[in-house]
Amino acid sequence: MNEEGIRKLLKKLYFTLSIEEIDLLIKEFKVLENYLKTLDTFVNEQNIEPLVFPLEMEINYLREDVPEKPLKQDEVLKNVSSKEAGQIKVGKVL
Amino acid sequence: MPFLNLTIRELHQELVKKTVTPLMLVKEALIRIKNDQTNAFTYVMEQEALDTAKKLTEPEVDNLLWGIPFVVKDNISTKDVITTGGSKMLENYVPLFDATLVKLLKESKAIPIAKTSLDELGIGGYGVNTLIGPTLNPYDLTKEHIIGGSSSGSASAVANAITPFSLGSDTGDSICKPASYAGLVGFKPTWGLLSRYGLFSFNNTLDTLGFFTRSVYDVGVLLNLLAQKDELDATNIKVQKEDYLRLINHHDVKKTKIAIIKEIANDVVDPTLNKAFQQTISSLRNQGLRVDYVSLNQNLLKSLYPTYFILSSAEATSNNARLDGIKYGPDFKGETYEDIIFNARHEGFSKLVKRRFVFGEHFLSKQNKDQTYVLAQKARRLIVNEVNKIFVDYDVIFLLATPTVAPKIKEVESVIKENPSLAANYMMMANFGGFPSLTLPLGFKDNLPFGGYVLTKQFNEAKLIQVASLIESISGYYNLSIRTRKR
Repeated sequence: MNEEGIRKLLKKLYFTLSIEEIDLLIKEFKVLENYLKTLDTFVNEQNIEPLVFPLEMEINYLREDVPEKPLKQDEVLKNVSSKEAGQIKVGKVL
Repeated sequence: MPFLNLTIRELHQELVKKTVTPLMLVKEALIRIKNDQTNAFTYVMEQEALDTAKKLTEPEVDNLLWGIPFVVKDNISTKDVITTGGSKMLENYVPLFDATLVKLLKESKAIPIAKTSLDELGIGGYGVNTLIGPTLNPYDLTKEHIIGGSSSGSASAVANAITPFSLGSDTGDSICKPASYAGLVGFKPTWGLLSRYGLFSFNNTLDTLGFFTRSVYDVGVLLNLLAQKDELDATNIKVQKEDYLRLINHHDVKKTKIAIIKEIANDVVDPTLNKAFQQTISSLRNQGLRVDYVSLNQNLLKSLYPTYFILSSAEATSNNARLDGIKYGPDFKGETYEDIIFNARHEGFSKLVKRRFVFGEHFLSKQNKDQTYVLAQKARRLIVNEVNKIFVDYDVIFLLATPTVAPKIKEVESVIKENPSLAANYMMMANFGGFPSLTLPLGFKDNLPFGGYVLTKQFNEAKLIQVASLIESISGYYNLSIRTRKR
Protein backbone atom coordinates (compact mmCIF):
# COMPACT_ATOMS: atom_id res chain seq x y z
CA MET A 1 0.00 0.00 0.00
CA ASN A 2 1.33 3.41 -0.94
CA GLU A 3 0.21 7.01 -0.53
CA GLU A 4 -1.74 6.98 -3.80
CA GLY A 5 -3.65 3.86 -2.78
CA ILE A 6 -4.53 5.36 0.58
CA ARG A 7 -5.68 8.61 -0.99
CA LYS A 8 -8.03 6.63 -3.25
CA LEU A 9 -9.54 4.97 -0.19
CA LEU A 10 -9.80 8.30 1.63
CA LYS A 11 -11.76 9.75 -1.27
CA LYS A 12 -14.36 7.02 -0.96
CA LEU A 13 -14.55 7.52 2.79
CA TYR A 14 -15.21 11.27 2.58
CA PHE A 15 -12.41 12.43 4.85
CA THR A 16 -8.72 13.03 4.66
CA LEU A 17 -5.67 12.47 6.83
CA SER A 18 -2.41 14.33 7.37
CA ILE A 19 0.71 13.08 5.63
CA GLU A 20 1.98 11.87 9.03
CA GLU A 21 -1.15 9.76 9.47
CA ILE A 22 -0.82 8.41 5.92
CA ASP A 23 2.79 7.45 6.66
CA LEU A 24 1.61 5.66 9.79
CA LEU A 25 -1.04 3.84 7.74
CA ILE A 26 1.56 2.72 5.22
CA LYS A 27 3.52 1.19 8.12
CA GLU A 28 0.34 -0.43 9.45
CA PHE A 29 -0.43 -1.89 6.03
CA LYS A 30 3.02 -3.53 6.13
CA VAL A 31 2.00 -5.17 9.39
CA LEU A 32 -1.24 -6.21 7.70
CA GLU A 33 0.74 -8.07 5.03
CA ASN A 34 2.16 -10.27 7.78
CA TYR A 35 -1.30 -10.71 9.29
CA LEU A 36 -2.56 -11.94 5.94
CA LYS A 37 0.36 -14.35 5.59
CA THR A 38 -0.50 -15.71 9.03
CA LEU A 39 -4.12 -16.19 8.03
CA ASP A 40 -3.19 -17.76 4.71
CA THR A 41 -1.00 -20.28 6.53
CA PHE A 42 -3.78 -21.01 9.02
CA VAL A 43 -6.63 -21.32 6.56
CA ASN A 44 -4.30 -22.97 4.03
CA GLU A 45 -6.91 -23.25 1.28
CA GLN A 46 -8.97 -25.61 3.38
CA ASN A 47 -12.38 -26.08 1.92
CA ILE A 48 -14.15 -24.19 4.63
CA GLU A 49 -17.18 -21.97 4.55
CA PRO A 50 -16.79 -18.46 5.92
CA LEU A 51 -18.44 -17.99 9.32
CA VAL A 52 -20.56 -14.87 9.31
CA PHE A 53 -22.77 -15.13 12.39
CA PRO A 54 -21.92 -17.30 15.38
CA LEU A 55 -25.36 -18.91 15.35
CA GLU A 56 -27.46 -20.34 12.61
CA MET A 57 -29.90 -17.52 11.98
CA GLU A 58 -33.50 -17.83 10.90
CA ILE A 59 -33.53 -15.15 8.24
CA ASN A 60 -36.65 -15.85 6.22
CA TYR A 61 -39.38 -15.20 8.72
CA LEU A 62 -42.02 -12.53 8.54
CA ARG A 63 -43.27 -10.50 11.42
CA GLU A 64 -46.97 -10.23 12.04
CA ASP A 65 -48.49 -7.54 9.87
CA VAL A 66 -49.27 -5.20 12.72
CA PRO A 67 -49.57 -1.51 11.89
CA GLU A 68 -47.33 0.70 13.98
CA LYS A 69 -47.33 4.41 14.52
CA PRO A 70 -44.57 5.97 12.42
CA LEU A 71 -42.40 8.74 13.80
CA LYS A 72 -43.82 12.21 13.44
CA GLN A 73 -42.09 14.56 11.06
CA ASP A 74 -40.77 16.80 13.82
CA GLU A 75 -39.37 13.74 15.61
CA VAL A 76 -37.55 12.60 12.49
CA LEU A 77 -36.07 16.05 12.09
CA LYS A 78 -35.20 16.45 15.77
CA ASN A 79 -31.54 15.58 15.28
CA VAL A 80 -31.12 17.30 11.92
CA SER A 81 -28.86 20.36 12.14
CA SER A 82 -29.99 21.95 8.87
CA LYS A 83 -33.72 21.93 8.08
CA GLU A 84 -36.35 24.11 6.50
CA ALA A 85 -40.11 23.80 6.00
CA GLY A 86 -40.24 20.31 7.50
CA GLN A 87 -37.42 18.96 5.34
CA ILE A 88 -33.68 18.34 5.56
CA LYS A 89 -31.87 21.21 3.89
CA VAL A 90 -28.66 20.64 1.95
CA GLY A 91 -26.91 22.60 -0.77
CA LYS A 92 -27.75 22.29 -4.44
CA VAL A 93 -27.45 18.77 -5.80
CA LEU A 94 -27.61 19.77 -9.45
CA MET B 1 -24.12 3.78 56.04
CA PRO B 2 -22.77 4.14 52.50
CA PHE B 3 -25.44 2.03 50.83
CA LEU B 4 -24.00 2.32 47.35
CA ASN B 5 -21.08 0.18 48.51
CA LEU B 6 -23.48 -2.76 48.48
CA THR B 7 -24.24 -5.20 45.67
CA ILE B 8 -27.63 -5.29 43.94
CA ARG B 9 -28.86 -8.15 46.10
CA GLU B 10 -27.71 -6.52 49.36
CA LEU B 11 -29.09 -3.17 48.36
CA HIS B 12 -32.43 -4.76 47.55
CA GLN B 13 -32.65 -6.10 51.09
CA GLU B 14 -32.05 -2.62 52.49
CA LEU B 15 -34.62 -1.09 50.14
CA VAL B 16 -37.21 -3.65 51.18
CA LYS B 17 -36.49 -2.95 54.86
CA LYS B 18 -36.78 0.76 54.02
CA THR B 19 -33.47 1.51 55.69
CA VAL B 20 -32.73 3.37 52.47
CA THR B 21 -34.91 4.78 49.71
CA PRO B 22 -34.27 5.10 45.97
CA LEU B 23 -34.12 8.87 46.42
CA MET B 24 -31.39 8.56 49.04
CA LEU B 25 -29.45 6.27 46.71
CA VAL B 26 -29.75 8.62 43.76
CA LYS B 27 -28.66 11.60 45.86
CA GLU B 28 -25.70 9.62 47.17
CA ALA B 29 -24.77 8.52 43.64
CA LEU B 30 -24.98 12.08 42.31
CA ILE B 31 -22.58 13.26 45.02
CA ARG B 32 -20.17 10.48 44.13
CA ILE B 33 -20.42 11.41 40.44
CA LYS B 34 -19.58 15.02 41.28
CA ASN B 35 -16.52 13.83 43.20
CA ASP B 36 -15.45 11.41 40.47
CA GLN B 37 -11.85 11.96 39.38
CA THR B 38 -11.75 9.40 36.59
CA ASN B 39 -13.46 11.23 33.73
CA ALA B 40 -16.10 8.52 33.52
CA PHE B 41 -19.26 10.39 32.63
CA THR B 42 -20.43 12.07 29.44
CA TYR B 43 -23.80 13.17 30.79
CA VAL B 44 -25.53 13.07 34.17
CA MET B 45 -29.31 12.60 34.19
CA GLU B 46 -29.61 14.44 37.49
CA GLN B 47 -33.15 15.80 37.37
CA GLU B 48 -34.61 12.81 35.54
CA ALA B 49 -33.11 10.43 38.10
CA LEU B 50 -34.30 12.47 41.07
CA ASP B 51 -37.81 12.74 39.61
CA THR B 52 -37.96 8.98 39.02
CA ALA B 53 -36.61 8.17 42.47
CA LYS B 54 -39.14 10.41 44.22
CA LYS B 55 -41.97 8.37 42.71
CA LEU B 56 -40.58 5.08 44.04
CA THR B 57 -41.95 4.79 47.54
CA GLU B 58 -43.25 1.25 47.94
CA PRO B 59 -40.56 -1.42 47.53
CA GLU B 60 -41.30 -4.51 45.44
CA VAL B 61 -40.12 -7.52 47.40
CA ASP B 62 -39.71 -9.82 44.39
CA ASN B 63 -38.13 -7.22 42.12
CA LEU B 64 -34.41 -7.04 42.84
CA LEU B 65 -33.89 -4.14 40.45
CA TRP B 66 -36.49 -1.88 42.09
CA GLY B 67 -34.93 1.48 42.90
CA ILE B 68 -31.38 0.43 41.96
CA PRO B 69 -29.38 3.16 40.20
CA PHE B 70 -27.25 2.27 37.19
CA VAL B 71 -25.24 3.91 34.42
CA VAL B 72 -25.23 3.30 30.69
CA LYS B 73 -22.39 3.25 28.17
CA ASP B 74 -22.86 6.13 25.79
CA ASN B 75 -23.25 4.00 22.69
CA ILE B 76 -26.54 2.67 24.07
CA SER B 77 -29.61 4.71 23.17
CA THR B 78 -31.47 6.52 25.94
CA LYS B 79 -34.70 8.27 25.02
CA ASP B 80 -34.47 12.06 25.19
CA VAL B 81 -31.00 11.81 26.71
CA ILE B 82 -27.95 12.83 24.71
CA THR B 83 -26.06 9.77 23.42
CA THR B 84 -22.78 10.59 21.74
CA GLY B 85 -21.24 7.21 20.99
CA GLY B 86 -18.09 8.89 22.29
CA SER B 87 -17.79 10.70 18.97
CA LYS B 88 -17.70 14.34 18.01
CA MET B 89 -19.80 13.22 15.06
CA LEU B 90 -22.75 12.64 17.41
CA GLU B 91 -22.02 15.04 20.23
CA ASN B 92 -25.54 16.51 20.17
CA TYR B 93 -27.49 13.38 19.18
CA VAL B 94 -30.63 12.67 21.20
CA PRO B 95 -32.27 9.28 20.54
CA LEU B 96 -36.03 9.07 20.14
CA PHE B 97 -36.21 5.72 21.88
CA ASP B 98 -34.62 3.63 24.62
CA ALA B 99 -32.47 0.63 23.85
CA THR B 100 -34.46 -2.47 24.78
CA LEU B 101 -32.24 -3.27 27.77
CA VAL B 102 -32.63 0.27 29.10
CA LYS B 103 -36.38 0.02 28.57
CA LEU B 104 -36.57 -3.30 30.44
CA LEU B 105 -34.53 -1.93 33.33
CA LYS B 106 -36.68 1.18 33.53
CA GLU B 107 -39.81 -0.99 33.50
CA SER B 108 -38.31 -2.85 36.45
CA LYS B 109 -37.88 0.54 38.12
CA ALA B 110 -34.12 0.57 38.07
CA ILE B 111 -32.95 4.18 37.70
CA PRO B 112 -30.52 5.30 34.99
CA ILE B 113 -28.45 8.17 36.37
CA ALA B 114 -25.67 8.85 33.86
CA LYS B 115 -24.13 8.04 30.51
CA THR B 116 -20.54 6.83 30.51
CA SER B 117 -17.49 7.49 28.41
CA LEU B 118 -16.12 5.06 25.84
CA ASP B 119 -13.62 4.79 23.03
CA GLU B 120 -15.12 6.50 20.03
CA LEU B 121 -17.89 4.32 18.56
CA GLY B 122 -16.52 1.42 20.61
CA ILE B 123 -13.35 1.34 18.51
CA GLY B 124 -10.17 1.07 20.61
CA GLY B 125 -9.42 -0.98 23.65
CA TYR B 126 -7.94 1.42 26.14
CA GLY B 127 -10.58 4.00 27.04
CA VAL B 128 -8.27 6.77 25.85
CA ASN B 129 -9.70 7.63 22.42
CA THR B 130 -12.80 9.22 23.92
CA LEU B 131 -14.77 12.40 23.43
CA ILE B 132 -13.94 13.74 26.89
CA GLY B 133 -10.38 12.51 27.45
CA PRO B 134 -8.95 9.27 28.83
CA THR B 135 -10.92 7.41 31.51
CA LEU B 136 -8.68 6.88 34.52
CA ASN B 137 -8.46 3.90 36.81
CA PRO B 138 -10.03 4.73 40.19
CA TYR B 139 -7.55 2.43 41.98
CA ASP B 140 -4.68 4.56 40.74
CA LEU B 141 -4.15 7.67 42.84
CA THR B 142 -1.42 8.90 40.47
CA LYS B 143 -3.98 9.26 37.66
CA GLU B 144 -1.59 7.63 35.22
CA HIS B 145 -3.24 4.26 34.61
CA ILE B 146 -6.06 3.40 32.23
CA ILE B 147 -9.06 1.32 33.17
CA GLY B 148 -9.36 -0.17 29.71
CA GLY B 149 -12.01 0.08 27.05
CA SER B 150 -14.02 0.48 25.24
CA SER B 151 -16.57 0.37 28.12
CA SER B 152 -14.24 2.49 30.25
CA GLY B 153 -16.70 4.80 32.02
CA SER B 154 -19.09 1.97 32.85
CA ALA B 155 -16.19 0.05 34.46
CA SER B 156 -15.02 3.06 36.43
CA ALA B 157 -18.49 3.85 37.79
CA VAL B 158 -18.92 0.39 39.31
CA ALA B 159 -15.33 0.11 40.58
CA ASN B 160 -15.89 3.49 42.22
CA ALA B 161 -19.14 2.18 43.81
CA ILE B 162 -21.18 4.95 42.22
CA THR B 163 -23.67 2.33 41.09
CA PRO B 164 -23.82 -1.43 41.75
CA PHE B 165 -24.00 -2.22 38.05
CA SER B 166 -23.61 -0.67 34.64
CA LEU B 167 -24.38 -1.50 31.03
CA GLY B 168 -21.56 -1.92 28.54
CA SER B 169 -20.96 -3.49 25.16
CA ASP B 170 -18.37 -6.03 24.07
CA THR B 171 -17.11 -6.65 20.53
CA GLY B 172 -13.62 -8.08 21.17
CA ASP B 173 -13.03 -7.64 24.91
CA SER B 174 -14.64 -4.27 25.67
CA ILE B 175 -16.27 -5.48 28.90
CA CYS B 176 -14.17 -8.44 29.90
CA LYS B 177 -10.78 -6.71 29.68
CA PRO B 178 -11.63 -3.48 31.55
CA ALA B 179 -13.32 -5.67 34.19
CA SER B 180 -9.89 -7.15 34.89
CA TYR B 181 -8.23 -3.74 35.22
CA ALA B 182 -11.13 -2.51 37.36
CA GLY B 183 -11.41 -5.48 39.73
CA LEU B 184 -14.97 -6.15 38.62
CA VAL B 185 -17.20 -8.89 37.40
CA GLY B 186 -17.65 -8.23 33.70
CA PHE B 187 -20.10 -10.34 31.74
CA LYS B 188 -20.61 -10.88 28.03
CA PRO B 189 -23.53 -13.16 27.10
CA THR B 190 -24.02 -15.61 24.26
CA TRP B 191 -24.30 -13.59 21.06
CA GLY B 192 -27.99 -12.98 20.41
CA LEU B 193 -29.17 -13.77 23.96
CA LEU B 194 -29.66 -10.12 24.89
CA SER B 195 -31.32 -7.66 22.57
CA ARG B 196 -28.95 -5.27 20.84
CA TYR B 197 -31.74 -2.94 19.80
CA GLY B 198 -30.57 0.60 20.49
CA LEU B 199 -26.86 -0.25 20.58
CA PHE B 200 -24.80 1.70 18.04
CA SER B 201 -23.59 -1.17 15.87
CA PHE B 202 -19.84 -1.51 15.67
CA ASN B 203 -19.62 -5.05 14.38
CA ASN B 204 -22.97 -6.82 14.07
CA THR B 205 -21.55 -10.31 13.98
CA LEU B 206 -19.51 -9.84 17.15
CA ASP B 207 -21.30 -7.17 19.25
CA THR B 208 -23.12 -8.01 22.45
CA LEU B 209 -24.44 -5.90 25.28
CA GLY B 210 -23.41 -6.94 28.77
CA PHE B 211 -22.76 -5.62 32.25
CA PHE B 212 -20.33 -4.84 35.02
CA THR B 213 -21.29 -5.87 38.55
CA ARG B 214 -19.46 -6.45 41.83
CA SER B 215 -20.70 -9.99 42.36
CA VAL B 216 -21.29 -13.00 40.17
CA TYR B 217 -24.75 -13.40 41.69
CA ASP B 218 -25.75 -9.98 40.38
CA VAL B 219 -24.92 -11.10 36.84
CA GLY B 220 -27.60 -13.77 37.23
CA VAL B 221 -30.05 -11.22 38.63
CA LEU B 222 -29.64 -9.02 35.55
CA LEU B 223 -29.65 -11.92 33.14
CA ASN B 224 -32.88 -13.30 34.62
CA LEU B 225 -34.56 -10.02 33.77
CA LEU B 226 -32.93 -9.09 30.48
CA ALA B 227 -32.71 -12.40 28.58
CA GLN B 228 -36.01 -12.24 26.77
CA LYS B 229 -37.02 -12.18 23.13
CA ASP B 230 -37.12 -8.78 21.50
CA GLU B 231 -38.92 -8.53 18.17
CA LEU B 232 -37.06 -5.30 17.48
CA ASP B 233 -33.73 -7.10 17.15
CA ALA B 234 -33.75 -9.60 14.29
CA THR B 235 -30.59 -11.23 15.64
CA ASN B 236 -32.04 -11.74 19.11
CA ILE B 237 -32.56 -15.44 19.78
CA LYS B 238 -35.72 -16.78 21.33
CA VAL B 239 -34.77 -18.96 24.27
CA GLN B 240 -36.78 -20.67 26.95
CA LYS B 241 -37.02 -18.70 30.14
CA GLU B 242 -34.56 -20.06 32.66
CA ASP B 243 -33.22 -19.20 36.09
CA TYR B 244 -29.57 -18.37 35.52
CA LEU B 245 -28.89 -18.58 39.26
CA ARG B 246 -30.22 -22.09 39.65
CA LEU B 247 -26.82 -23.80 39.73
CA ILE B 248 -25.11 -21.48 42.22
CA ASN B 249 -23.98 -23.48 45.27
CA HIS B 250 -25.24 -26.69 43.66
CA HIS B 251 -23.09 -29.64 44.76
CA ASP B 252 -22.61 -30.83 41.17
CA VAL B 253 -20.08 -28.01 40.67
CA LYS B 254 -17.50 -30.58 41.83
CA LYS B 255 -18.10 -32.49 38.60
CA THR B 256 -17.03 -29.49 36.55
CA LYS B 257 -14.21 -30.04 34.08
CA ILE B 258 -12.03 -27.01 33.47
CA ALA B 259 -9.61 -26.51 30.58
CA ILE B 260 -6.68 -24.14 30.64
CA ILE B 261 -5.23 -23.25 27.25
CA LYS B 262 -1.56 -23.89 27.88
CA GLU B 263 -0.15 -21.51 25.29
CA ILE B 264 -2.15 -18.53 26.55
CA ALA B 265 -1.42 -19.31 30.19
CA ASN B 266 2.29 -19.68 29.42
CA ASP B 267 2.32 -16.26 27.74
CA VAL B 268 1.84 -14.59 31.13
CA VAL B 269 5.20 -13.88 32.73
CA ASP B 270 4.22 -11.81 35.75
CA PRO B 271 4.90 -13.91 38.89
CA THR B 272 2.25 -12.17 41.00
CA LEU B 273 -0.50 -12.83 38.50
CA ASN B 274 0.69 -16.37 37.83
CA LYS B 275 0.79 -17.13 41.55
CA ALA B 276 -2.82 -16.02 42.05
CA PHE B 277 -3.87 -18.06 39.02
CA GLN B 278 -2.04 -21.19 40.21
CA GLN B 279 -3.48 -20.82 43.71
CA THR B 280 -6.98 -20.67 42.25
CA ILE B 281 -6.33 -23.81 40.19
CA SER B 282 -5.03 -25.61 43.28
CA SER B 283 -8.11 -24.62 45.25
CA LEU B 284 -10.39 -25.80 42.47
CA ARG B 285 -8.58 -29.14 42.33
CA ASN B 286 -8.69 -29.43 46.11
CA GLN B 287 -12.45 -29.06 45.92
CA GLY B 288 -12.61 -31.99 43.54
CA LEU B 289 -12.88 -30.23 40.20
CA ARG B 290 -10.87 -31.54 37.29
CA VAL B 291 -8.51 -28.94 35.83
CA ASP B 292 -6.45 -29.89 32.76
CA TYR B 293 -4.14 -28.07 30.43
CA VAL B 294 -5.11 -28.28 26.76
CA SER B 295 -3.38 -27.05 23.63
CA LEU B 296 -4.41 -24.98 20.63
CA ASN B 297 -2.21 -24.87 17.58
CA GLN B 298 0.14 -21.95 17.14
CA ASN B 299 -1.25 -20.91 13.76
CA LEU B 300 -4.70 -20.58 15.29
CA LEU B 301 -3.42 -18.55 18.20
CA LYS B 302 -1.41 -16.27 15.91
CA SER B 303 -4.53 -15.77 13.80
CA LEU B 304 -6.76 -14.50 16.60
CA TYR B 305 -5.86 -10.82 16.47
CA PRO B 306 -5.47 -10.58 12.65
CA THR B 307 -8.91 -12.17 12.24
CA TYR B 308 -10.43 -9.72 14.71
CA PHE B 309 -8.66 -6.74 13.16
CA ILE B 310 -9.98 -7.50 9.69
CA LEU B 311 -13.54 -8.36 10.72
CA SER B 312 -13.90 -5.44 13.09
CA SER B 313 -12.38 -2.82 10.78
CA ALA B 314 -14.50 -3.96 7.84
CA GLU B 315 -17.81 -4.05 9.67
CA ALA B 316 -17.13 -0.82 11.56
CA THR B 317 -16.54 0.94 8.26
CA SER B 318 -19.75 -0.40 6.81
CA ASN B 319 -21.87 0.31 9.91
CA ASN B 320 -20.62 3.84 10.31
CA ALA B 321 -21.07 4.82 6.67
CA ARG B 322 -24.45 6.14 7.82
CA LEU B 323 -22.74 8.88 9.81
CA ASP B 324 -22.88 11.59 7.17
CA GLY B 325 -23.61 14.74 9.19
CA ILE B 326 -26.97 15.21 7.48
CA LYS B 327 -29.54 13.16 9.40
CA TYR B 328 -27.97 13.77 12.80
CA GLY B 329 -24.90 15.29 14.37
CA PRO B 330 -23.64 18.86 14.67
CA ASP B 331 -23.85 21.29 11.76
CA PHE B 332 -20.50 20.86 10.04
CA LYS B 333 -21.58 23.20 7.20
CA GLY B 334 -20.93 22.85 3.47
CA GLU B 335 -22.08 24.25 0.14
CA THR B 336 -23.24 20.94 -1.31
CA TYR B 337 -24.41 17.73 0.34
CA GLU B 338 -21.06 16.18 -0.50
CA ASP B 339 -19.29 19.06 1.22
CA ILE B 340 -21.44 18.50 4.30
CA ILE B 341 -20.60 14.79 4.35
CA PHE B 342 -16.90 15.47 3.87
CA ASN B 343 -16.76 18.17 6.52
CA ALA B 344 -18.75 16.08 8.98
CA ARG B 345 -16.67 12.93 8.54
CA HIS B 346 -13.39 14.82 8.36
CA GLU B 347 -14.01 16.84 11.51
CA GLY B 348 -16.26 14.34 13.28
CA PHE B 349 -14.02 11.26 13.41
CA SER B 350 -10.76 10.92 15.34
CA LYS B 351 -7.54 9.95 13.59
CA LEU B 352 -7.65 6.42 15.01
CA VAL B 353 -11.18 5.79 13.78
CA LYS B 354 -10.30 7.18 10.36
CA ARG B 355 -7.34 4.84 10.09
CA ARG B 356 -9.53 1.87 10.98
CA PHE B 357 -12.04 2.92 8.32
CA VAL B 358 -9.28 3.10 5.71
CA PHE B 359 -8.50 -0.53 6.47
CA GLY B 360 -12.18 -1.43 6.42
CA GLU B 361 -12.68 0.20 3.04
CA HIS B 362 -9.68 -1.75 1.74
CA PHE B 363 -11.02 -5.04 3.11
CA LEU B 364 -14.47 -4.56 1.64
CA SER B 365 -13.38 -3.51 -1.84
CA LYS B 366 -14.29 -5.97 -4.56
CA GLN B 367 -10.68 -6.76 -5.49
CA ASN B 368 -9.51 -7.38 -1.89
CA LYS B 369 -12.53 -8.86 -0.15
CA ASP B 370 -11.81 -12.55 -0.76
CA GLN B 371 -8.16 -12.25 0.28
CA THR B 372 -8.97 -10.29 3.44
CA TYR B 373 -12.52 -10.19 4.81
CA VAL B 374 -13.64 -13.60 3.56
CA LEU B 375 -10.28 -15.07 4.56
CA ALA B 376 -10.86 -13.76 8.10
CA GLN B 377 -14.36 -15.23 8.11
CA LYS B 378 -12.89 -18.62 7.20
CA ALA B 379 -10.29 -18.27 9.94
CA ARG B 380 -13.13 -17.41 12.29
CA ARG B 381 -14.86 -20.69 11.54
CA LEU B 382 -11.67 -22.69 12.06
CA ILE B 383 -11.03 -20.96 15.39
CA VAL B 384 -14.59 -21.54 16.59
CA ASN B 385 -14.46 -25.19 15.53
CA GLU B 386 -11.31 -25.74 17.59
CA VAL B 387 -12.69 -23.98 20.67
CA ASN B 388 -15.89 -26.01 20.38
CA LYS B 389 -13.77 -29.18 20.41
CA ILE B 390 -12.52 -28.14 23.87
CA PHE B 391 -16.13 -27.82 25.00
CA VAL B 392 -16.81 -31.44 24.04
CA ASP B 393 -14.66 -32.57 26.96
CA TYR B 394 -14.74 -29.54 29.26
CA ASP B 395 -17.42 -27.31 30.74
CA VAL B 396 -15.41 -24.11 30.83
CA ILE B 397 -12.07 -22.61 29.88
CA PHE B 398 -10.30 -20.68 32.65
CA LEU B 399 -7.44 -18.20 32.14
CA LEU B 400 -5.97 -15.01 33.51
CA ALA B 401 -8.02 -12.22 31.96
CA THR B 402 -5.00 -10.03 31.29
CA PRO B 403 -1.25 -10.67 31.56
CA THR B 404 -0.67 -7.46 33.53
CA VAL B 405 -2.52 -4.96 35.66
CA ALA B 406 -3.77 -1.78 33.95
CA PRO B 407 -0.99 -0.11 31.97
CA LYS B 408 -0.20 3.60 32.10
CA ILE B 409 -1.79 5.91 29.54
CA LYS B 410 1.62 6.70 28.07
CA GLU B 411 2.32 2.97 27.60
CA VAL B 412 -0.63 2.24 25.34
CA GLU B 413 -0.44 2.71 21.60
CA SER B 414 -3.41 2.41 19.31
CA VAL B 415 -1.43 1.14 16.33
CA ILE B 416 -1.51 -2.41 15.03
CA LYS B 417 1.45 -4.42 16.23
CA GLU B 418 3.60 -6.96 14.42
CA ASN B 419 3.36 -9.49 17.24
CA PRO B 420 0.47 -8.61 19.53
CA SER B 421 0.66 -10.21 22.96
CA LEU B 422 -1.33 -13.43 22.97
CA ALA B 423 -2.30 -13.25 26.64
CA ALA B 424 -3.57 -9.68 26.12
CA ASN B 425 -5.45 -10.41 22.90
CA TYR B 426 -7.26 -13.71 23.05
CA MET B 427 -10.71 -12.84 24.40
CA MET B 428 -12.09 -12.20 20.92
CA MET B 429 -12.36 -15.97 20.53
CA ALA B 430 -15.49 -15.62 22.69
CA ASN B 431 -16.94 -13.09 20.27
CA PHE B 432 -16.01 -15.21 17.25
CA GLY B 433 -18.01 -18.13 18.61
CA GLY B 434 -20.70 -16.12 20.34
CA PHE B 435 -19.56 -17.78 23.59
CA PRO B 436 -20.57 -16.30 26.94
CA SER B 437 -17.70 -15.23 29.14
CA LEU B 438 -17.05 -13.58 32.44
CA THR B 439 -14.16 -11.82 34.14
CA LEU B 440 -13.85 -11.65 37.92
CA PRO B 441 -11.19 -10.33 40.29
CA LEU B 442 -8.34 -12.64 41.32
CA GLY B 443 -5.82 -10.37 42.99
CA PHE B 444 -3.80 -7.18 43.18
CA LYS B 445 -0.38 -6.08 42.11
CA ASP B 446 0.98 -2.68 43.12
CA ASN B 447 -2.49 -1.80 44.39
CA LEU B 448 -4.05 -2.40 40.97
CA PRO B 449 -6.47 -5.30 40.44
CA PHE B 450 -6.35 -8.12 37.92
CA GLY B 451 -8.87 -10.77 37.01
CA GLY B 452 -9.53 -14.30 35.89
CA TYR B 453 -11.60 -15.15 32.86
CA VAL B 454 -14.11 -17.95 32.38
CA LEU B 455 -15.47 -18.93 28.98
CA THR B 456 -18.08 -21.53 28.10
CA LYS B 457 -20.15 -22.81 25.20
CA GLN B 458 -23.17 -20.97 23.82
CA PHE B 459 -26.23 -20.67 26.08
CA ASN B 460 -24.36 -22.21 29.02
CA GLU B 461 -24.68 -19.08 31.19
CA ALA B 462 -26.02 -20.92 34.25
CA LYS B 463 -22.91 -23.12 34.33
CA LEU B 464 -20.68 -20.09 33.76
CA ILE B 465 -22.26 -18.34 36.75
CA GLN B 466 -21.93 -21.48 38.87
CA VAL B 467 -18.22 -21.90 38.20
CA ALA B 468 -17.51 -18.17 38.48
CA SER B 469 -19.34 -18.08 41.80
CA LEU B 470 -17.09 -20.85 43.12
CA ILE B 471 -13.98 -18.98 41.95
CA GLU B 472 -15.34 -15.83 43.60
CA SER B 473 -15.65 -17.70 46.89
CA ILE B 474 -12.09 -19.00 46.51
CA SER B 475 -10.59 -15.60 45.77
CA GLY B 476 -12.62 -13.80 48.41
CA TYR B 477 -13.07 -10.83 46.11
CA TYR B 478 -16.82 -10.49 46.49
CA ASN B 479 -18.16 -6.94 46.11
CA LEU B 480 -14.79 -5.39 45.39
CA SER B 481 -14.60 -1.63 44.83
CA ILE B 482 -12.24 1.15 45.80
CA ARG B 483 -14.53 1.81 48.76
CA THR B 484 -14.85 -1.78 49.98
CA ARG B 485 -11.34 -3.09 49.44
CA LYS B 486 -9.78 -4.41 52.63
CA ARG B 487 -6.09 -3.61 52.71
